[in-house]
Amino acid sequence: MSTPAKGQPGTRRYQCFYCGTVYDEALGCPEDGIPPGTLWEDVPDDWVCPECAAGKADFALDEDW
Amino acid sequence: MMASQAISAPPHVPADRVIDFDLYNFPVEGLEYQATMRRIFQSNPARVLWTPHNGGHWIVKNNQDVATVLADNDHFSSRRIMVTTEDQQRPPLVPLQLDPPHHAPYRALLQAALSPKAVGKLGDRARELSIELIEGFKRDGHCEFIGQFAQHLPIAIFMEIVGLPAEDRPYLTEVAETAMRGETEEIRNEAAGKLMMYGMAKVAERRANPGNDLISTIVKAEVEGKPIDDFPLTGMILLLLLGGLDTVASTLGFYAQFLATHPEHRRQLVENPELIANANEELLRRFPIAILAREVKADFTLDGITMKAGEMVLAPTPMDGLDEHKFADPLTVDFNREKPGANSTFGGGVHRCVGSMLARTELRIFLEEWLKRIPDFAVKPGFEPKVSARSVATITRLELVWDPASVK
Repeated sequence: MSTPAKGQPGTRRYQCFYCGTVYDEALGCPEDGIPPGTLWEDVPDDWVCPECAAGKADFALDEDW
Repeated sequence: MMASQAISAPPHVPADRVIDFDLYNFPVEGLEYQATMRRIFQSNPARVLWTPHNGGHWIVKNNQDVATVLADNDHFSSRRIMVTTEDQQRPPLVPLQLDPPHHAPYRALLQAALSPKAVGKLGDRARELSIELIEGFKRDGHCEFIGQFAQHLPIAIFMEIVGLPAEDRPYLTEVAETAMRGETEEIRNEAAGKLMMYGMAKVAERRANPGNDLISTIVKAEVEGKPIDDFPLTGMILLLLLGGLDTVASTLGFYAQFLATHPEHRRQLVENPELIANANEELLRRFPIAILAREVKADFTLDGITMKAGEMVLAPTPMDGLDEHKFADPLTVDFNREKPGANSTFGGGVHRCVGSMLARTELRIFLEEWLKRIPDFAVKPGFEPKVSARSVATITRLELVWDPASVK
């Protein structure tokens, strides 16, 4: 299986506006039951930032990553 | 609080919900503003309380209800955010006092300037400035922390964001302090008027000569296809000045007094600097400074009590971070606490503080750079710091001392 190119689904990173916490698709968020490789669009809408409890909508794509 | 005397309530307020609490004049035990407020609210076991002070208003007091009041825009409006009438004399603070969806385009302007990416660059500057300030007085063995550090670091960074001259800092700091916590409503409104006049003079300057600062961005921006009118623009500038000049400075005072009086916590961070990021969140949880209020927009029933449209409700942020059902042993500061950052210190819902990333960054940098250089310090013997509070609590003066031989 080939590794997706940087910036493509599976490698994207999203950052919390309020505290800077990063959701990395490659890593997922196992402590919240979200396995590595979970695409951002598949993260449940009611998921919240594990550090500051901001909503999923408060995360933005890190375009520099 | 009032002396013991009969207090009356409207007919729809059950007598067992009435509490004698004046947000703007309750006896704070030492510097324990947040813990005193919690103790007073917990003296009545009911979930929703009502006080006759400040026009009469409801109080919610657990983490879920605070979150509900801040997030439920169908029932609670931020059109009024203080439990007095005085802010009605001012232009609404934009976007804070606009309900969704009207707040969104204004907030987007601020978000762009305060995003994690933008703050990353500001953080470098905040670190430089922190080091410069601390290096300037560390060998003196003493400082007045509020005037020499807390009112410098965040305010200087804010002034760079909005492109204001550094020499205006003392004037603006003093006027903002008066606008927030001046003795009478007249004095506070007069100071707010001075801030607005100052801000609008800058707006006129930037209209003529736009730069790369946030005021220029706002002046040039269009909302719904047209430039922002002077009235909402004045409210935006006032919000920026009040938020940018006061809140982080006030929080820094609570951080410094805690560390000055808790040598074991200080030592823990000096020896384990990797704990600082979590310690920052824990201190934010323990020492919220902003007390938020909302206007009931449509009748809302909570715990069998109906809050009626037009009434005010206080959503005290300390009652989230200090709720024992959310955070065990909440009055204890534990730098190893798991996920202390999930609190309402920065508010909640669509009006959650737009500057929280910058605030977190400045506060963390203070902890990192101060403790590296001045690892041991105390409140000057005989000096008794005091809390001054209205909608935002602050420590007005904080004399600190240390052994100049111990600095690094």
